[in-house]
Amino acid sequence: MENREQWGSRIGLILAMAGNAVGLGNFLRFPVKAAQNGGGAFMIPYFVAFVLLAIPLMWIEWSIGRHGGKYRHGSLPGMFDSMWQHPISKYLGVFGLFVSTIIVIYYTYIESWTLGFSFFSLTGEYFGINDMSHMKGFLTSYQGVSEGYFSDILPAYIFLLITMALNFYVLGKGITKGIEKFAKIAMPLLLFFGLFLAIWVFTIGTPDPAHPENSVWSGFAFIWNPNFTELGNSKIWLEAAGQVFFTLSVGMGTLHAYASYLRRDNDIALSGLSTAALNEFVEIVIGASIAIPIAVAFFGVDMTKVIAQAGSYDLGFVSMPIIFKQIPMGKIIGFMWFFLLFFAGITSSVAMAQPLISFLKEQFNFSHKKATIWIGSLIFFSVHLVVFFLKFGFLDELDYWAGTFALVIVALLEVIVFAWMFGMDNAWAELNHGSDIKIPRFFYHIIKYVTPVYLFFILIFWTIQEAVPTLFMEGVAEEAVPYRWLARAFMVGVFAVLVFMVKKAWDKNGHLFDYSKEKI
Amino acid sequence: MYELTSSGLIFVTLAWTSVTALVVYCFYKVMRGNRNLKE
Repeated sequence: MENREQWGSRIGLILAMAGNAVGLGNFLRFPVKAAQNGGGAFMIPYFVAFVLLAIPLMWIEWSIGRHGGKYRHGSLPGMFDSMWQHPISKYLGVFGLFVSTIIVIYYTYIESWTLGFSFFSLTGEYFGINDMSHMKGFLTSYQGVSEGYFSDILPAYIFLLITMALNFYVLGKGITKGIEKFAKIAMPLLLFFGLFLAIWVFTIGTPDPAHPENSVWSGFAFIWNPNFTELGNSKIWLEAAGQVFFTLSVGMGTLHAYASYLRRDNDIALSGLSTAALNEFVEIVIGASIAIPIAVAFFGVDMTKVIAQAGSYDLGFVSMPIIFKQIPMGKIIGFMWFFLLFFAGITSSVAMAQPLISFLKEQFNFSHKKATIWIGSLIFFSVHLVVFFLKFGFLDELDYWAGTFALVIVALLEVIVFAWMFGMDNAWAELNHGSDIKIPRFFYHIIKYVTPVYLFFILIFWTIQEAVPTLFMEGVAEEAVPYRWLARAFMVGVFAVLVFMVKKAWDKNGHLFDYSKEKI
Repeated sequence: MYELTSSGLIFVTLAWTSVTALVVYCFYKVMRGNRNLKE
């Protein structure tokens, strides 16, 4: 069995963890959600959710990860098994493996669009397009969803191959020489690009003097002016909790995997908090200062509302390119915007592949190289379903069930296993072991009671509001229904294979360690 | 016409200041108390 790797430096670990958390959502989803849900008033439920949900979950995942790493477990089945020695616990952990596996399959494809558009920005490929509908056509044609600007899907496919090659090059190098080294380059660049663009947005002012109402300041007003009447609406509390939840990449099994490569005495309390803080900085200070303010400056508030309603992708891939062609140095600015998104994406996608690589290495004695090749091949073959059935909603189906709904299930399971099955006193001791900060005692009660109840309510509301209509495919075009079912069958298949693999691993290995011999 | 109101300005200032302060605090503590991982 190979020696288990460990993080080489603390700053590298925090940057890798923050890279995992910082994704496209920080730049595209957050400003849209804030603008749609009460503006500045959105920040009240947002910060409440940050304290009651995000920080506790961040600490829980770091704690579960470091505890699991002590027993050579880098994925949730083994981690849960080490905390709760019940026959079912390892199977509950399959949810974590499942989520990260499914998300990395489609996320890699989305990530490759940002790389493609970085290239198109430099070459000015879309600079001849003047309006939104044609720019949308450019995007959908690139994706192979419609015909027009691209004769086939080859360009998208080439950028997908490059993206996958980069991902698996980083993963193949391992934790210290691959992920950590990459995070130390990508995250400072991401911050530099983000801050540069945010400062540049301030210089735009009012691009068209004939329309003084369309300015960057109107954009900031659109995001930040509070509408307090919205606070009485339960929807914005749910939206805020959802945003906080997604932005930190909790419920994916990825933070656990990274934390499992910590040493036993390494701090997790301060490092976890630093990761959350850095992610919030990127989201609230940088993310909120780019896309929406500039969209309002060029298109006005009413049009920006329409763009925001159409979704994050339209904001990032349709409205922003229209702006880049109208400004000085638009090619460079456009490149920076899409490359910023690419960095945000790749630092997340490498994290998503890591749990499965750890699982194969630790439970089936694969070498690192062999595990990386296997996972790379799995993702490569599976992503074709996403590429070729994109227009039928195959990606949307995976994104809803694995990338949205299952995250809450994983989070709920992990808080129950951690606080209740492992025992809150053990959990608190685990969290505080080696800590560089003193965690206020009230978090003991928040983790034990408030976070699980909060998650439970989110799950109930989402089940009623979204999961049931999605399950019955309300509003889905008839020709897309078979492909949606195919996506569901694919997910069930992946889940079944993972359950089978966990069973085989435990039949073969039993518990890798006698957990009872080593108490905290 | 949308104009940044005083309450909007308060919210953006509070939000930016608080997350920036949290980042500065965390990284100050990380750099100062670097007793865990070798740096």
